[in-house]
Amino acid sequence: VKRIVPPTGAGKDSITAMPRGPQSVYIHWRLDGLRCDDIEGEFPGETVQWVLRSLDMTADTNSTLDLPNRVGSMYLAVEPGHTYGFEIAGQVGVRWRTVCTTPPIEVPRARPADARADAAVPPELDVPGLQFETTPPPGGASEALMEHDA
Amino acid sequence: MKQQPSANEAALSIVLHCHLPWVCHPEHDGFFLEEDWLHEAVAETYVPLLMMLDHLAADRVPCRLNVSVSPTLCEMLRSDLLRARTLRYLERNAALACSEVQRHAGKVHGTAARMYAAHYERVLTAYTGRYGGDLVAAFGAAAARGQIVLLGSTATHALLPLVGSDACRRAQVDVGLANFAKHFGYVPDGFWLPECAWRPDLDALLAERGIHYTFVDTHGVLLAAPRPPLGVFAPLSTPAGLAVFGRDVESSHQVWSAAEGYPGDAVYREFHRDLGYDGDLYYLRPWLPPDGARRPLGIKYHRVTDRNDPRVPKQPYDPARAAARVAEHAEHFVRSRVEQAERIAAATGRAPVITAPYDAELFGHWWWEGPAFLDGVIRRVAAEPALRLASASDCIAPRPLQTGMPAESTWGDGGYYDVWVNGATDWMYPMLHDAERRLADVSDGEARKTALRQLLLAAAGDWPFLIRTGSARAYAERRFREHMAAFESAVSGEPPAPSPHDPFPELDGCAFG
Repeated sequence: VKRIVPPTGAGKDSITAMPRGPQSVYIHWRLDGLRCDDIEGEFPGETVQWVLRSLDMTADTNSTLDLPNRVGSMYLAVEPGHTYGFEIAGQVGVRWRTVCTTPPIEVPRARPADARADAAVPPELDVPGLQFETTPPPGGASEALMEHDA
Repeated sequence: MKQQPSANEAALSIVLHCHLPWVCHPEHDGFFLEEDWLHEAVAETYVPLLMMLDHLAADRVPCRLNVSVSPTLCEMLRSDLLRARTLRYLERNAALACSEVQRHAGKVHGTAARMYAAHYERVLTAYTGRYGGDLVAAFGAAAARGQIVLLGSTATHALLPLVGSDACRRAQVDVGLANFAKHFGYVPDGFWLPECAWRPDLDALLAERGIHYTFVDTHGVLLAAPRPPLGVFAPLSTPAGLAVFGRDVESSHQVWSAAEGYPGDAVYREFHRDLGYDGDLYYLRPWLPPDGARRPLGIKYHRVTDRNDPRVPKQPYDPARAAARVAEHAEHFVRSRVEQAERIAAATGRAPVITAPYDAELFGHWWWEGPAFLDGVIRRVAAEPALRLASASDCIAPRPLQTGMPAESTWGDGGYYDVWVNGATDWMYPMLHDAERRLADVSDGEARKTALRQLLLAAAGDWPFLIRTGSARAYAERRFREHMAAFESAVSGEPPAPSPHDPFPELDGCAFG
């Protein structure tokens, strides 16, 4: 039976993944669409476990996590510089059905540990002439009034 | 006044990013703390910077800066309601400053009180006279004189990589560019990415919109693929043909650094000691809200003194000492750039482009002496044969570009998204991204337009920033939720009544999709 999809856009299963930095990705999902209902209908009398599959395309590995809720979010540890895909699936035993996927996500590469605030040119780049040198300003070193940004 | 540096001349390319989030509150007729952000920035940063440009032009001193005036700021600077309120703010502060001159006559803060009185008198006269209350036009005039090159930006200062859908990313860029065209009469060549937030897929998006260049943080260029041999000292040409300028570490460090930055010098004005908090409550009553709540009044009588030890009592501010120090710092900054340029040229065989982007509000609002510092830098560079002040657009053509794709990056703390995506703010993104999906289903023109406006305003990167820093957490959270609620009303067929004070009246639903 085809149901009418409400015009509000509800009923769209979704997963979104955002790299937060070189170490983690923020993922949020919402499973309230017809696809989930269809999958449950495909396995009558059985319990469908909703899972998040993390596909590390760079290392060619994957891992699976059970999702505790149909709507939720989490931070997932990732490898710097790797490309990932994320997929939500309904799993029944060894059978599974894809609900929704993200496009490939490229995780930023790690950067020097001293980070941006005192960002010197990373020595491993071996770019000539870019060493960070400065003479103390008149009046001597003292603290700035504000943090950087916005 | 345009002077293109040759490929053999070192170029200093200063970028000033003027931005405030949309903080228009017609529902409050009197004082409103967050709306004062605009009035303070007008009084302490925008008018002083424009006056500086006027003085440089009058003195025939060459000047060439990159300036972005964000769309939300343009809308506020051109709002009749806010212009009237800015004028009221300036008049009140001018009156307060005059009162302070009498109160401190012959006393320790007398010189500083006279400085404030002269400042507000000058700003008020310029705002109402020369600029006619229209600072957007004043920025446009400076651009027409060739003193500045104006940059476009996203509609509401959204970090584009954090926007969930391509359609909404396009809407942020398209509405931002349309707004620029509305205010300045043309489409910009350059684009300021809020928080320097760059992701490789923005390359095609910006290039398709006719953008020729943009700016990223240092590591965005240093970690580009392939790694560029000249680092941040030459623009990087992307696969789509965009020229990308990377932030220089040294020039940034000298202004922003918590350890060595100029603004923290002991003789400079202390930002946090404000008359609104220090003064006698009964005396201040005419300048405080009706409920008597203390608020910053923009008059501050103390100097930094010793930022490393907060137990040291703040000493009185001496404008003459600060003026002398700012001249030294401007000299030091320029000398450091010349030495830096010589060092880089000797090592690479090429004259560098040194890109130095700053939030404009640093100069004047946070760092009171900042406009004088900038003025000093510009005048010293003009007299310096080894260095040329240049816009980014001046530096593209004469220099052979490096090629590569900049790496994902921001200029926020940590270099990526920690400031905007964290335990205090991550709840915002599922709401935003869900709304983006739902907007695609709204076909009604007026509802779609209203919903898009509210979604754009909700997506401002300022809200998570203010929540994370804790500086205006409750306000930022409330604003986000209010825009999301208005979005819900719009998509459910009950849009909020349109207001003449809404930003982006030119916004067309066709911008989305």
